[in-house]
Amino acid sequence: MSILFLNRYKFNQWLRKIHESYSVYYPDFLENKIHYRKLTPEFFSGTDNSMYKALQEIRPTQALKGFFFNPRLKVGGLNKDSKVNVKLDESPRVIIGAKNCDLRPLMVHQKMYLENEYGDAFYKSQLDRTIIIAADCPAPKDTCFCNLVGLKPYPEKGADIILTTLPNGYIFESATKKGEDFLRDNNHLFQEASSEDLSQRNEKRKQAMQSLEKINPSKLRDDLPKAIDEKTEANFWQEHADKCVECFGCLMVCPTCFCFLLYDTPTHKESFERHKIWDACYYAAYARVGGGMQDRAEFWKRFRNRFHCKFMHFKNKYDFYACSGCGRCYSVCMGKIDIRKVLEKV
Amino acid sequence: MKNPFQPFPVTITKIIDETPTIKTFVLDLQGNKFSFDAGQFIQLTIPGVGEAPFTPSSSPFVKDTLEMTIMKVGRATSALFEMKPGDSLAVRGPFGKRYPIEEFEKREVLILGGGVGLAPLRSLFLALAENIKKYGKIYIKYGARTPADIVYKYLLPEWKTWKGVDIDLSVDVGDKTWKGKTGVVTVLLDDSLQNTQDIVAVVCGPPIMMKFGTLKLLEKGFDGKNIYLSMEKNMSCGIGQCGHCRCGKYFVCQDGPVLTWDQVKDIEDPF
Repeated sequence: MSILFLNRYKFNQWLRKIHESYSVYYPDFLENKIHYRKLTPEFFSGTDNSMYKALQEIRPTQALKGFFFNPRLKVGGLNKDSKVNVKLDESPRVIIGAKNCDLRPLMVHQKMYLENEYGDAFYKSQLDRTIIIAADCPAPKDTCFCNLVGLKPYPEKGADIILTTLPNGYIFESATKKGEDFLRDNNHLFQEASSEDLSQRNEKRKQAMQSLEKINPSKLRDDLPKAIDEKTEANFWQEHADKCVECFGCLMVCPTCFCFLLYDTPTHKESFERHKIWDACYYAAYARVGGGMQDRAEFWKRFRNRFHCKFMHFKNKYDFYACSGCGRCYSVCMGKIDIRKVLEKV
Repeated sequence: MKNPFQPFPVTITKIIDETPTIKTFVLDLQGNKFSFDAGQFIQLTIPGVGEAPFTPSSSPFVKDTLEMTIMKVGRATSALFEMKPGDSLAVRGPFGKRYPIEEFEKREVLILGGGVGLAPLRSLFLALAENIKKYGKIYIKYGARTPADIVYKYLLPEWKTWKGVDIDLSVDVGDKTWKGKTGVVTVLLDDSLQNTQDIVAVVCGPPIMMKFGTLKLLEKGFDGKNIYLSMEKNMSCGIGQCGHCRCGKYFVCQDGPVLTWDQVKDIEDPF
């Protein structure tokens, strides 16, 4: 696999080139926060400055997950006796700037959807049409805790290409054959990354890791899944759940949450469309059955379920946490519930 | 593209009133390729309303129709109860695991049902009855709230005549016509059952009945690995992806819907 260098003054040229064949999404500032933006021709009337800066911030506000596991997706239905057309957009696209904390969630979803007897042709087609160019995360913030869940502040698994910003340009490292082929298309713009480029990258990565260790000095306990399982006292969970205002924003911004609901909408008589929409285990109706019974009627049990799911069941089954330490849940929490604090006290 | 969320259309050909709140819907599969094994369930779509999971009540050996015995309890079933023969529904599935009936061979099988819980057990019973000589005695022990709440009243007398089948009923509250046993269904688990550690018990009913039924079976010496429980959870996708039916480490739609007592005994409030 290649490690290439692209000079900053050639970046827009490269971007213009790929934009001819792909839809391109990139991180940019929107009211001081980072959001994905779809590249339009207007971009080229300026410089790469804003994107260059945005790439050095932490993860975008919205998770990468939505590109693959859409918040709402038509998955079926019947028109009287014929099936509703559910053909997906298969046009190729490039997503630039996802951080490592948005790559692990892809692993979670691939376990849940693709390594399943039935698979998920919808998810797969979204994945197949995408080149993921993930970026290093040089400046973690106090909400970040990827290091606690076993991740590093730079892409490890799940990206096609790994991007690092340097003062005078970008390092592009291909991580898959798809990524390698993609870079080769515009080979003439790149040069081999020099050993100086690579040592700059190593230094930035080391610094990012050190600042994460400063933000989160203590590790999660090794027997966390067992400890959570054994934490059956209502009081413990109740104490944290009491601070929750039940907006469930934490689960809506969570990049790893994989729950969905199949929701039918009538179109006309005997016809309906079926959508797959994001769902969350904090909702009272989530586990409710026809007769009104439900397993987790008390909110603290639903609150606890999030910890059971991400830090116990998933870890026990797949040997990694279904949490990437992106900190979005804490960032949006009106009750200031810090998931790290809950895990520390378990 | 294989799409597990896409149902196929079926037509209601007949509706049988079982009790004031339970009906059996006979569905014509309209030639769609479909078969299931006892223990598996389907997702039944009421067009425009939504879908809900049910276990077929008919024999898995019947291929062109499907019978579903359903109780009116919520939004989807209320809409279903408004439907008439000729109306369309849709089906996807089957999902979940089947009963390992080959392990039941040469053994006695106790079918313990409460209320509408006999509905899914009927497909198992009919599957066993197809090769009845392979099994030891098949006991059906069934309890309903009142005589009017008993399902399959028109079938039970015939089943009683089948060799190797022993049927015993109870009602919580009898009436003038009732000559049988009175009390919750566990009153039927009397001392006539011998070698209980080897009997296969298959249980389905309301959660409270499942709980006390299981406790009674354990008290009678049944082995936890031989007690099969139909778990009632909110199964939405049916394929272990959407998360709703989580029960401990299991997704009931994928790992169940029938789990043994040994599988669920360490889960907090499994029923």
